[in-house]
Amino acid sequence: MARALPAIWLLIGGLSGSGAAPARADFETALAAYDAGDYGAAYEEWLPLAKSGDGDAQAAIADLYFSGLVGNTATANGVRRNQATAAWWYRRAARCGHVIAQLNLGDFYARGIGVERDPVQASLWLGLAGKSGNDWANARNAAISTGMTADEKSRAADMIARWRPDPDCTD
Amino acid sequence: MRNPCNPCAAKNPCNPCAATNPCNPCAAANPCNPCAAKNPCNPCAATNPCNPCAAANPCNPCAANPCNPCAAGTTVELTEAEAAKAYDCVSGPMKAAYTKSGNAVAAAYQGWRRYSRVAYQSATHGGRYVQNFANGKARAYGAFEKSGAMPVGSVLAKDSFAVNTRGRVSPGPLFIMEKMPAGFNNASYNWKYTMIMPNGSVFGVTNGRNSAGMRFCYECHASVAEDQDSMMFLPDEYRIR
Repeated sequence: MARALPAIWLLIGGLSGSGAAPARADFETALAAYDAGDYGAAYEEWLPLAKSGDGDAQAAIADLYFSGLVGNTATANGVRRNQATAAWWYRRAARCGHVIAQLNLGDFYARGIGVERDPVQASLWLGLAGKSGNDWANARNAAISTGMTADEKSRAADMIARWRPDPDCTD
Repeated sequence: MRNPCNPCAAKNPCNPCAATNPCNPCAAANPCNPCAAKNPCNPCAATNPCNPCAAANPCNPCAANPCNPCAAGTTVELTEAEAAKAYDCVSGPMKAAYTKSGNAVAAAYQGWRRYSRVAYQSATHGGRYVQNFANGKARAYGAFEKSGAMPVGSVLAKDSFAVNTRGRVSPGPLFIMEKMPAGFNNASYNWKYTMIMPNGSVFGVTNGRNSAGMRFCYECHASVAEDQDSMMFLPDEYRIR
């Protein structure tokens, strides 16, 4: 059974992150399942962690949706490719300061993957990841900034200066 | 009327009275209770090829087998020509993906000597297609089973890609083994295992971030620790000598 966009969850439970936080051991179980190519099982293990605010799990879920790995397992389980949902999960982690989520979200905005192409948003998220010392983000930000207007660059710089992690973040 | 074993309930999928039902849910000690919704090892699921009730089944997903070969069982299979073409297409995106991590090996490994002549399917890496690289310190790797113990500083890298049922190719994780000085980690035989996801996340480093998450790597590799310094070599037909 492939996973489609979890619309109901997004509307009902996805924004609250309610319930007890799952143990970090679940992350390791998910990782082992992912390594074994059982993407469906990895999704099931990572999802509760992601809902509870674990940035690594959120980025992992985003990558599963971006990659769209279905039917590559013994149980034919997997996650159907959905770029908008991938962007949604990256945004959730990025707003809490997760660097890998920030740079991937910035790249999504630069290329129009799962979101409307937006160089200012791209520069914002890549710039934030770059401020944390990520060389790839800095190089990507430099590359896209060559196509931006002075006003767009100024707006992005201002947003970076004013940016703070979402107060709802648990980390 | 709340009898879970009611044989008259037409919609009861767990009818224990059916003569052909091998999964009687009423048997308290039955580890294969198909009524347990969360049982990942439900042997009654028609599509489950890993029936945990079969004692001789080497693919039992319930066993604590870190090298479960089941995952590779239904993966898409490519011809060598297809695998070569797919790798040509995906090697650039793979390197771009891994370098998001900031890991030095991710940036360097494609310049190292490659020991596989074409991407091949690795059952112990989720059925993904992989290629094997080693740095200069690890040049003895080319002797494969005769390579002996690797010197400190040896680094082995294995990139990977997956193919879904629609034929779409996408980068998989980058697996790295780095030989560390004695005393680094006895359980891993002094190898540092690192796993980098295709979005740049570093999801585990032995003795580092999420070290526990890398345990399944060295537990699997430990099966060849004594004879091959924990290195599992690729099938003979794919080797570059």
